[in-house]
Amino acid sequence: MIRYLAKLFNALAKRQRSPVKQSSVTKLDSGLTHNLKHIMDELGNGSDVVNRQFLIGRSAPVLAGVIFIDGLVDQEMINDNILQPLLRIELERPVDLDVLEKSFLAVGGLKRVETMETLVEGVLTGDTALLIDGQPSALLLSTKKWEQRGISEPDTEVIVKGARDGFTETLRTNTALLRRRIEHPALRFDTMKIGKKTRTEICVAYIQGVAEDKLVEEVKKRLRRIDTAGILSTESIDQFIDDAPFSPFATVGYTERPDVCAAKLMEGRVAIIVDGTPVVHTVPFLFWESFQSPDDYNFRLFYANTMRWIRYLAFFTSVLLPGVYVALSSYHQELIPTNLLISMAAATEGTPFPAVVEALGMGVVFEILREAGIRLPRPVGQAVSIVGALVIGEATVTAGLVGAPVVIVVALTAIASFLVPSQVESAAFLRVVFTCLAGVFGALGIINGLIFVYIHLASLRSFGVPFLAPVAPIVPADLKDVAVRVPIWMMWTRPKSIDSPDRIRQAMRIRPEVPEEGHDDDRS
Amino acid sequence: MKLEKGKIDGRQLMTLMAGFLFGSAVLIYPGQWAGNESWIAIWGGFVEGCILLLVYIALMSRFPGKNFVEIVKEVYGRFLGNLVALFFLAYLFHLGSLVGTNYHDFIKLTMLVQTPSSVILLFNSLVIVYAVRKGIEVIARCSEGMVVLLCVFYVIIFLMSCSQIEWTNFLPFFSAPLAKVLWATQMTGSFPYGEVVAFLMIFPAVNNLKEIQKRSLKALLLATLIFSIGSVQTIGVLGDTARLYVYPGFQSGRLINIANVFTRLEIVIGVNFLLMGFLKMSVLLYTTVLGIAQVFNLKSYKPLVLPVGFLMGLAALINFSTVSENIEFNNLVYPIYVLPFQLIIPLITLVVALVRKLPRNGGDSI
Amino acid sequence: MRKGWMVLAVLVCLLAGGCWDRQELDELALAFAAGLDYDMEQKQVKLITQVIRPGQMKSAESGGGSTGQGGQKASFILESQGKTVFEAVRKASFQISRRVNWTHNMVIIFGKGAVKAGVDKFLDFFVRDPEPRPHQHILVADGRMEEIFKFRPNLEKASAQTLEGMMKNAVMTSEIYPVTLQEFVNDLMSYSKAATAPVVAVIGEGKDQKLQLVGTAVFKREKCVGKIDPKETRGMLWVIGKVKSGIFSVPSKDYGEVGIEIIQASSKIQPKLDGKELTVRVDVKAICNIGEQQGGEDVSKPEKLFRFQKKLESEIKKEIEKAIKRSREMKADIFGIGEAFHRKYPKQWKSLEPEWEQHFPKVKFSLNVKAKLELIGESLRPLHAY
Repeated sequence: MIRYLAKLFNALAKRQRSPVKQSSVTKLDSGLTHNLKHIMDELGNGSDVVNRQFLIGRSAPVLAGVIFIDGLVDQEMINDNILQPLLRIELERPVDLDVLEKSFLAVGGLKRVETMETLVEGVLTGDTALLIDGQPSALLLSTKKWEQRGISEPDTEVIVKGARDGFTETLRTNTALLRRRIEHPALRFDTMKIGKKTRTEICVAYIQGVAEDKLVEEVKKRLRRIDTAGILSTESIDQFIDDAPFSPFATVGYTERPDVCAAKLMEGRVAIIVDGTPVVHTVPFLFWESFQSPDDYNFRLFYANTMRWIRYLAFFTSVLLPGVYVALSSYHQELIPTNLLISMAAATEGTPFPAVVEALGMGVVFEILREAGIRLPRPVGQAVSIVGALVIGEATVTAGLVGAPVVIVVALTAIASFLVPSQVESAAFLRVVFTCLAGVFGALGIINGLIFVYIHLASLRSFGVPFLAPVAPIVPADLKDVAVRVPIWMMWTRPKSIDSPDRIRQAMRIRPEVPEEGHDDDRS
Repeated sequence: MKLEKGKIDGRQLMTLMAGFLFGSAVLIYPGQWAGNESWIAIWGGFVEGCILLLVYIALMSRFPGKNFVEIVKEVYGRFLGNLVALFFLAYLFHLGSLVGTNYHDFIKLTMLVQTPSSVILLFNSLVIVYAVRKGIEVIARCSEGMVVLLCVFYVIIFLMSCSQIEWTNFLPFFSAPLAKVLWATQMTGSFPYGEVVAFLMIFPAVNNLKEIQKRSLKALLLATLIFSIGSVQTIGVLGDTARLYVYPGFQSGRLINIANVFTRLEIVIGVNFLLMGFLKMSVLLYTTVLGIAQVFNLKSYKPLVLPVGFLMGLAALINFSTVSENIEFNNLVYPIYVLPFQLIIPLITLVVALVRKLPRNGGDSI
Repeated sequence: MRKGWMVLAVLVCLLAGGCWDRQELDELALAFAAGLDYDMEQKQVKLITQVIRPGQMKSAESGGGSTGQGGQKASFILESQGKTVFEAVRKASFQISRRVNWTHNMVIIFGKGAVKAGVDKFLDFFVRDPEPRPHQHILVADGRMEEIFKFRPNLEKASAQTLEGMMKNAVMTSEIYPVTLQEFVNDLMSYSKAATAPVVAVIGEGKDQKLQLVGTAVFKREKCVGKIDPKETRGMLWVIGKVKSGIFSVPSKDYGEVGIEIIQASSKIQPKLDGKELTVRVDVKAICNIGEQQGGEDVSKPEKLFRFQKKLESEIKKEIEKAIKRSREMKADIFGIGEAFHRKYPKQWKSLEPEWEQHFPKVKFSLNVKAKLELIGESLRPLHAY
């Protein structure tokens, strides 16, 4: 069904896109001034466009020109490797591009172009265009260099043990980070440009033979479908290729860590790297990936497993706790232990609102505080949290506006939700739904709500893979990294649900073995 | 033309069928009418269920890849076949509404006393309609986790109530009159075991015929084991008072008290029931709408789901005027009422198919 | 998308429709104890409900039965009447601003009138209604019931909590047999077995008042037929194997007493039907520990221990025999002997059951008590220089 729809949409998209492809192609003229003028017009005589004309050769000088965009190029390189050799050419006879290319230009990347469009496009990406009077073609010299952020640890995915590098805003840096981790020729980067105006470079990364060909094709198909003016962040790409756009759950994963991305590629997934953002998307994305942190694989087995389960618990807490509190306190008092009930009743004595309103209200207050804490400059943000914690939390309780249990519940919920960063968005939404349902139906509302969410999750697919795999449907082989994290040497197959053509990840019997005691004697 | 393209595998069939059997039975568990002898009734019902299942599978294997509505159409011809099919579908619809009634009674009696019945059933129908619209594949996928969860819950609850079980409650053995035990066996045979007749509509979604047979029997066995655990727990804990309560299983959960920490566990039994009731109702709604769509040669069953789902909820509302009527119906009428649907129609269809040597084009069964 | 709107509309309707069963915590009056009595002349059920004030329950000042902030006590009582228990329950809610909630009720106490009139008609409400839980303890009041409800305990805030705690402590002596609603109803439903419930009374006057469990009431079917004292209660518990712990005093050879603690006990009832003759063989096994010694006997010698054991066995036997004697007088089968016959001889039981009251006093008991002193505490010798 999904495939069919995708195909259908693709066909529609092709029909729409066809006029774009037929846009006129302007061949380069042999007259230099005409060409330069045309290019400058195309670029709108921008103040950042540098147009330098000079003469090549002493005896029969030929007029030549370079065009590049200031700030995108390596000025030094242009001076030393392009302009200097060209200005010192001693040849008598008129030069042609071949000779220049072969003997004089000390530039790594070099491309001969015939059309105006490719030339302009190249200049816009930071190449330098070299045009020579009388030649109907030009040279694009790769001189890209611009100011960029250094490789630093991503703030959003901090880990305790492990690599500290993170993706940056530059596509090339990112691909290089991946290449450094997977030094195999099968690692492929297929690039395409998306966005009529932004012409964002997008790179589909995968390991051939490990990622399913159909999957790669599907990703490219969905990317090609995007026909928009501009892509400014990966997030917008995510929304274009999402399987279930109206679901609270994202079916496309993201990471800022090259080690995570490389691990996903090794599992047979496909990564989408977009120029201009440090966030790399991986597909297919399954629900349980949200609970996997790189630390899980770096820490000792038992600790890592405990933490994994704490994260599951935290997710359920962050979604259900306010709802459960409301259901228990206003519907099922018989389920609360007597002493706890007395404490709760004593604490809520005389509060003006029903529990459901308290829980929803305090939830909103928390969201406001959180948003303020993120948006405000850091020093002010701290002030906000102090005000939030002390004034709002303490004062509302002492003033008798809300009961203390609600404040505890909301605070616990809030903290729990940060344990699973990639599900923060879905949890925030579901929390409200469950609180409302609990307010109307008590436990019945929560259970029916859970069934509803479960059906929804089970019906989702991420690029053809059931979103809830390997739990629904149960894939026993894949539970090794979901129910528990088994030792790395036991994970000898790739996840079955992703259906990689190369199922075997490593040799089966590589359990660490301690040499027999006799060997110790030999050594000593 | 296939209305349902979804495919389920053997294990999913097993969990779906087990979940279907658990249905309302985890609460009003089978054989409770027989008191101390309920476990005899449960295993008697299991044998009866196995026999019925073999009839269904014999029918299935003659017409591979066809569900019951398609089979009767082929066996009895277009007109008569549709008539039989509608008759059968009416039963599935009614069964769905009966489960709805149980569901609603339970909620009214234990949790939400004042909430209007219509609201509870509407809410419930919404969830089921949503599930059925997603298709059998999703329902089956959901069933896997739910059934595993239920079994774990059940075993935990049983272990926790072990300390409360008075083994003398089971004595004396075989004290009930034979007629009562036989009647109780027929009760368990008809509810829940015989109700797997609904799966005649679902079997074609499974690829492998051998798998169907093996997994269905396993599902029956799993359900029987869980029922046995439940009945041992209930009789052991409650003894004679088991006869006192409408929901003895629920009551036995209330009695669990381990070190004053693990108490009030009846909610777990309640949750089990709500989950399994959901599964059973979804399966029944799904089979009903699928059958209707096939009888009337519709292109898709999806538009039917919402109206039929709400009608089912409505029927659940007006089935009985009081709870005791429902209990009376379950105890006295239901075991006889279901005979035509669970036994006679499938059996006659099988016999007619054998006599007419159907299917004509070489019955190459897999 | 239209679908989504429809779902949304239905959800909004549900939310707007209201919350029918919602009961906020601050709209509840939690009942902790229910006292039931019956006025024979007016045919009225009299209900006393102990309701707590959560605020006062929590505040530290209001401990020890004194009054808390604002001079309010942690609990108060409501008295109401009605033709049925349910009517009385609703009328109790009518006297206060909140609805009485029974989900955490701890004890049900029967007054004199109620036990005379038959308790079954009062208990049905507590079984049928979804609010009360099956773990509530059943008690019978000796003397005026209001006193029990108004009693100000020292540690807890409400007398119901004290009673609940006393039930838990019953295992220390095994002289009281606490019964829960579930167990009581189970016994009531049996034709042959007599149900029992502890008897509670307030002893003393004014400041020196104390709550005490004074014995066990015996019910034949729904009516109370008598009372047995704590020692007899333990005699009953030996037979049914419910002795958990307890203390015995056995005279020492020279002077003083030896305090012996029961650690573990079990029993086995084997009925035997021989023609018209009904005999029951009761095997009681007890494992004990020396907890205290006043005299000067050296218990580190095994033969001394054996002597104690013999003594102990005869003491236990005496207790059991007293209980059997009392039960014969009352013609009440407090041991569940009838049930044992029912299990073993289901066919003959049909003829025995209707006249069990006549048969029971004739049942012959043969008692086999085995006591074992396994431990002697942490000292080897008595505290004597010689």
